Amino acid sequence: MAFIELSNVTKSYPSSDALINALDGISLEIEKGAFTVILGPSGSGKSTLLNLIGGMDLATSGEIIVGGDHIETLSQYKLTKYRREKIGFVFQFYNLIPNLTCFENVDIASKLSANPIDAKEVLEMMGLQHRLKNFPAQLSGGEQQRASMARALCKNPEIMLCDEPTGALDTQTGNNVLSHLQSMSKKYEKAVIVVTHNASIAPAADRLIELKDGKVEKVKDNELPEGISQIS
Amino acid sequence: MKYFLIKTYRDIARNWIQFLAVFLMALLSVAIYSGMEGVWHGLDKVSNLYYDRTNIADFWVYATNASEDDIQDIASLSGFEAEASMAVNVSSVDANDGGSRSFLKLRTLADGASLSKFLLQEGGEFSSSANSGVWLDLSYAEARGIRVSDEVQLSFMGQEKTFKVQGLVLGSEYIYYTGSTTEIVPNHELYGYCFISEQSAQEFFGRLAYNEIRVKSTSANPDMINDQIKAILGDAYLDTVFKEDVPAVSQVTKEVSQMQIMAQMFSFVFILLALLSMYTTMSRLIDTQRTEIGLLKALGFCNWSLRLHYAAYGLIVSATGGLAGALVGPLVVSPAVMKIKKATLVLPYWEIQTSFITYALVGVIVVCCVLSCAIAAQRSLKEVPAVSMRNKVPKAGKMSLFERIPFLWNIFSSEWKWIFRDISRAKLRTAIGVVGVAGGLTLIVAGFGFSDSISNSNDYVYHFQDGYQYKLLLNDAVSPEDASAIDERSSSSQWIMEKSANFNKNGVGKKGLLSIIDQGGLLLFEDTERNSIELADSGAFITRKLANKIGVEIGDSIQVHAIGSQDFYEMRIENIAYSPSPQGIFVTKAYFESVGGAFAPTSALVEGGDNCADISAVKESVTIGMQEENMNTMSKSVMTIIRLLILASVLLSIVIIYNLGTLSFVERYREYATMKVLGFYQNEIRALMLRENTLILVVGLALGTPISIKFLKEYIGIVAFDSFEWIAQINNASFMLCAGIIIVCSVVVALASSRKVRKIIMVEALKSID
Ligand SMILES: Nc1ncnc2c1ncn2[C@@H]1O[C@H](COP(=O)(O)OP(=O)(O)O)[C@@H](O)[C@H]1O
Ligand SMILES: [Mg+2]
Repeated sequence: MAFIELSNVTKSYPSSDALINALDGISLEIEKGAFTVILGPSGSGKSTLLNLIGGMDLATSGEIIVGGDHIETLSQYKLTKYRREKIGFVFQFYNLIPNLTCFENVDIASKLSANPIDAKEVLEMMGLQHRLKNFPAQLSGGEQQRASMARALCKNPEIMLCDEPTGALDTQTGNNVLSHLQSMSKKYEKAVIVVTHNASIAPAADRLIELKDGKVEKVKDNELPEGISQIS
Repeated sequence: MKYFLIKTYRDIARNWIQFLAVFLMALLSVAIYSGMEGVWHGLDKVSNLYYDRTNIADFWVYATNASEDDIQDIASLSGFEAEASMAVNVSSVDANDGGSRSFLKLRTLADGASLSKFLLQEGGEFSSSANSGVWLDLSYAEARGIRVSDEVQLSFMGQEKTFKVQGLVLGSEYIYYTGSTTEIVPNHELYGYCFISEQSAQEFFGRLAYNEIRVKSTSANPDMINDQIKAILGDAYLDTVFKEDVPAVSQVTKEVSQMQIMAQMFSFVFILLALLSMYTTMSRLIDTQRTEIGLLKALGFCNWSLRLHYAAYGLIVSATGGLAGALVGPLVVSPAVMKIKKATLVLPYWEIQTSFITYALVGVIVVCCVLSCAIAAQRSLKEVPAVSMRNKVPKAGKMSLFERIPFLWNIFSSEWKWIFRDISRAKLRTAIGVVGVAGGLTLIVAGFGFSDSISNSNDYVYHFQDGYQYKLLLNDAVSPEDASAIDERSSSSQWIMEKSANFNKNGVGKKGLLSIIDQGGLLLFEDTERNSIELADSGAFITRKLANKIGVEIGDSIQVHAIGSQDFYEMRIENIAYSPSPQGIFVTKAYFESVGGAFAPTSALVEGGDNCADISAVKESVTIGMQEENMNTMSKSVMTIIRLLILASVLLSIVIIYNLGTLSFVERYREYATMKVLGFYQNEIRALMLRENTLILVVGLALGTPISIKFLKEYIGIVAFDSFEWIAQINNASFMLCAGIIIVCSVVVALASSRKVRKIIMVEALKSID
């Protein structure tokens, strides 16, 4: 059994005339230690999928099993506990807390975890050791996104979910961020799932999932994924 | 323009809690003000009309036995009208209440008398031919169940005569009438007034002895008239009292100004809070609409039309609130306040009438709110469209001042640092929170402190200072047999003479009570430090409040003028007494005689005996309990108004704290959503929100404590009556209770507003733009 298993997952939203199926009977498997890339056009259901895996939203039907637990059956409290222990989330617009310094942003997250990775160590790994005392507004976009990744990673979660982490960044900076994510999946044995509509990073993924209109269009496993730095 | 209106409507609907807060504050401040004004302005108007319609005198000249010739001489002078009458206190027995005695102030009316007339309420007009007819005080008649054509038996110094009630009347000289200088609250069942014709008086008393001359000047200067009358009367002259010193006028003036001060102070605070709330609400609203503002400007709307648009919010909210307040005040607040005033004042009718000031106040609130909106909009309007159309300015993190002290700063966790920075970033919001807490505490302390101060002062007077059981009010002449009967029937007794007097030092004068005390230990005194002091034969004790008012210190000499007489005394102040009531000075009989006074007791204080009601010298006997009860009635009249104000203020504090909670929540919505995603439990997020609230609470309480004590002192000083010093203090338990109420309110409100964390939809809040 794979670490993350989705079977026949549907998410529908009521709309004016009929229901819109943001996800329409999706079944998927994702392994630990794998760098998974989800591709698809805007509105294809990528964010919805990520939110369901991350326990931020509930599926309309279907099963989501993570590490043997059925996510769809968890109570609000258990769901929070699940997010707290297992999930690290990286947002498109970073969502760092403006009134906390770079270090403090990571620090309050690391306190949520029973076995965190040291905040300073993670920040150093992200190349932010000189920016610890800066507020988010004083950092560049790339630096903010790296801080946001540090915040997700320091909790030492099993799954890292990244929704368009490079969406607000230029290509070079974006690739720098992605290569950090890729190496995380290897170094810390995390399931790293990255949503993007930038097809050029496809060769770097262990597994590539393409969505279209809420359905899985294609799943492709790379036996020998390329390093991100090589792509650019 | 239509688009603007729709937008305004939607914005208000979306931020209704904040706008409701502003609306409520405008409403409450105007309601309180207009409600109180409705009463005082109405009271002022009706009483002035009443004075006019009854043609009240300008001043009263008191005399002993003015002769017919003197009266004629005075009448022949020009420049004023003068009318002489005979006024005496008589006792009355009627068919009601088991034949118990009551007391009437009787005044004779000459044919065609026109000064200080009465208003007929029931029965027949005054006529001098109606022999043995009496026109009786309406309130008194109602309290005793006497009707027109009933009979009352009046007695005066042994003479008795039965009168038939011709009419029930009201007189403007008796708007505030308690029947005795030591009473504070009118007791209509026991004290009233009546009018009879000169012929009836002649028959009743056997002769007419004029002792009051009412004067109304038509052209001449009152002081000059007074001097002329004084000259004619010669030895018969006693004293002159001007209109503004007559209780019927001075009490009304005092109560009107008391209400005015209370209303002004509270309204001022409310308006200030309304403005601050309006400003923060608008600032936030406009912050969220930067994009729209940029867009509108790019579309070519000029700054003025945008400024007008945002000013419209202030206009709509404050104008509806203010006008609603102007409506609610006279309908709700006024009747409550008026009911209290009716306990002490008697008017032919009452009227609630606000003046233009209420509407001016609405205008001021509207203008201020509109301005605060315009100022809040100003910041965004200054930006060029290109800048403000950018989706969102990332809020810059900011160091708090506290951070400059690293060794202190570093002991705090990241969560605390976050809160400190947040507080120092949202300075205005925090300041309003602190003001809300401190202000709430101040007003509640004022309320509880008020009742503590009153009850402690009453306790002091009636349970410590006054050690007697009965106070026997005496008739003018007390026979030696009666005197010894009173002494014998009690285990201890003390004779006392009380007179209204003017106390004067270097031209600063004040009315009060002169108490001359014979031997006995039924009155105890303490100095201002609460050390026991003993009244000696070498000088007087002056009460603290009076001493402060006229600037008297120990060792000074003051002039004492017994009102209604030509008696002036020079007295040396030996000590200042803590006594809250009666305000005035205390001397021993021996000292009084040494400065030229003649001791004629007006009351006897007795302990360990009975009420001596059967002794003919005893006019009335009151227990210490009745006196206390009487005082409590008066205190309650003030308390009710205070409670009303305090209720409103607590409500406001709650609204402010809730409003701030909402503001802060909206501002940090995205941050809380992020925390939820990170896996913070709801309770952890709520705890964080509560921490900020707690900090504001602690600072507010710390600031509020000294302010509230100071405010209590000032406030009591302002609203207290002249005759009684309410010594400002608040018991520890009450203070704890006040702080407790504030803490509970604040925590409950914060808990309520932090419940919204549950409703955060993470997916929506953090939606990224593709
Ligand atoms: N809260 C919502 N209400 C209604 N429809 C929604 C909601 N969230 C997403 N959708 C719809 O679901 C579909 C998938 O959305 P999303 O997962 O955000 O797409 P993607 O991230 O791939 O761009 C879209 O058609 C979108 O309009
Ligand atoms: Mg998306």
